[in-house]
Amino acid sequence: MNKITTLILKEWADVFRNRYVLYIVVLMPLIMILIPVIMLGVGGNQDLMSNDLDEIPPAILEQPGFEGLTPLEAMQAFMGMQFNLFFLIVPLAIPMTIATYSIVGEKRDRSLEPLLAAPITTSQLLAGKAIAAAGPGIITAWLSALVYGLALFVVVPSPAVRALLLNAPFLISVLVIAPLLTVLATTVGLSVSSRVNDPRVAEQLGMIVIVPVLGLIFAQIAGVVAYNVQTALISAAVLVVADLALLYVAVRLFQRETILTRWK
Amino acid sequence: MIKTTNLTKRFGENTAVRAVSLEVPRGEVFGFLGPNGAGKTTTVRLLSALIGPSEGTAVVNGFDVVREPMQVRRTVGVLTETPGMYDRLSAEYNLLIYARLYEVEQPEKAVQKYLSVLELWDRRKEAVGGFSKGMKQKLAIARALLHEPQTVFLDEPTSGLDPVAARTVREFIEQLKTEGRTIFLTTHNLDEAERLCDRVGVMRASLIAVDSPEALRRRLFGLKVRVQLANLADSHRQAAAGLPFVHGVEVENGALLVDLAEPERNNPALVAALVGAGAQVQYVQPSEASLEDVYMQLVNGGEAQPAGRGK
Ligand SMILES: Nc1ncnc2c1ncn2[C@@H]1O[C@H](COP(=O)(O)OP(=O)(O)OP(=O)(O)O)[C@@H](O)[C@H]1O
Ligand SMILES: [Mg+2]
Repeated sequence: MNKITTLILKEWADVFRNRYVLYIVVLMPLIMILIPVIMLGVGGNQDLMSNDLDEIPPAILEQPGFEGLTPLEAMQAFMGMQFNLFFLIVPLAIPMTIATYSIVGEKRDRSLEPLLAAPITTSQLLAGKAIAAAGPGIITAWLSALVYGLALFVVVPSPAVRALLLNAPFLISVLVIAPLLTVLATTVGLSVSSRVNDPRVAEQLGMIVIVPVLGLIFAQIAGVVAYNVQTALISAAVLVVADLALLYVAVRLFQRETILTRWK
Repeated sequence: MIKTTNLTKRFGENTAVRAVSLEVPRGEVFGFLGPNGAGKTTTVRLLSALIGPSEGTAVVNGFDVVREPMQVRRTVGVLTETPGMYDRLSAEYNLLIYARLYEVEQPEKAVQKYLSVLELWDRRKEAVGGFSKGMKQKLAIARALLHEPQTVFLDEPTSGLDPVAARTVREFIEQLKTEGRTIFLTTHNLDEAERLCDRVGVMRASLIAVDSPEALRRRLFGLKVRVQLANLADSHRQAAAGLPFVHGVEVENGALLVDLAEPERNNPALVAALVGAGAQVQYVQPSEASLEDVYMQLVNGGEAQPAGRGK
């Protein structure tokens, strides 16, 4: 068996037996799916929403693409679009958690030293850790997006509204932005945990990088930033540059001797 | 086979290992002694290509630790100071991971072999977290041997083990020796060093002395004969001290401690001289300094250099 594969399988066998990591990996996507789906379910319910429908600001009804929607449909479409980027928290949080626990945990349990004494290159070790962290991140992100998309067929009866929600910017976020964010979170997680010895500290330090991205996601939810094909592509371009820079940093930081000794 | 020249490792201001030049031939069990913080673990890490030297060179199994670290790692086995097993994984899986990383031809077979030899086969499916310290240590030793390394580094293999577990480990080390492996062992247990090691090195940042325990004893304490007398008197001491082959005489616990060059040849004349002086000789015994005496002398004595933290 290839050494990187061995490392990845070992990583998963170990890290998924850690309750905290398991909770994050299972619960986080569930929450990220359930919140928008429940909101849309409520938002699309005539009886629950009847009082509010009269008060919908005209600005909402006049949004591009909203022509011909009933007020209820417009309401639902508006809500749904705010959640367009919500699930992107999944590819950010999961790789970060796995990466920090897999490296810092390994340092804390002293299992890193025998591993570094084995005939593996630092790149193999880095690749193993990175794929072990990024893999579940992207898989859960895509699964979340898929489940969300399918759930829309249940809670959003109008095909016109569904088309508005599963639009091009949404697809770009699933297919392009989510993988790029996974790489971002993984490289940040790896870099940070190469220098600290507490997984929680590593996660918090990682958050310093993650928070601006989260900020953008929430700004979009709040309607401060418009998310359309143009901004989606700009974000993707920025992320590519950030990912490359961070990958460079991670490789530089991830040296045998430093990860072994520079953390006490 | 290990050969170091001027091997030095600094951590910032602190020189953990200072100019160590050492040669350990193939098949030798070499004991590495020294107080806490003497640089033993650091030396093991240098020799197993885990960290790089600040100065000097080291060649292990014919490979340079700086230029050919991968070959070094491939041909050495390391028992790290703490076992560092994956507690949540089974004993068997823990070893299997390493058998694969070391590219062992038949990983399952190697794992089975060492789990059986170290009497852990029955518990192979259990998570290592539930193992006793001794079991974890044995498992870590197994892990270091899966790829049948020529040179084995054992960093305090019996520390913290109960006497039975410690003996199992020691017997296992003896067995490794019969297989012709080079064994580099650090320990704080001087008895163990005495029993297992062909030669020992005493270290305190720099290497203070290297030799067989026996030779170190001779070098530091000479060869002494303890003569127990029923009627010890100063005249007896003088009679012994007057002999040409006697280097010195001390009185210790009602006996004479006579320092002489060749006990086998000189003892009869010594006894004759004492009897001639009216001594009633009860016992004549070789007086062995223990390796502990040697160690104390080396580590606290004049030859020792201050260890660890430099200015
Ligand atoms: N990664 C490191 N960074 C800084 N200093 C270090 C590092 N590793 C070891 N040292 C220092 O190097 C010196 C030697 O440490 P080392 O662990 O090699 O000693 P040792 O002989 O193995 O001690 P012990 O008997 O306690 O195991 C100590 O002063 C230690 O503090
Ligand atoms: Mg040590």
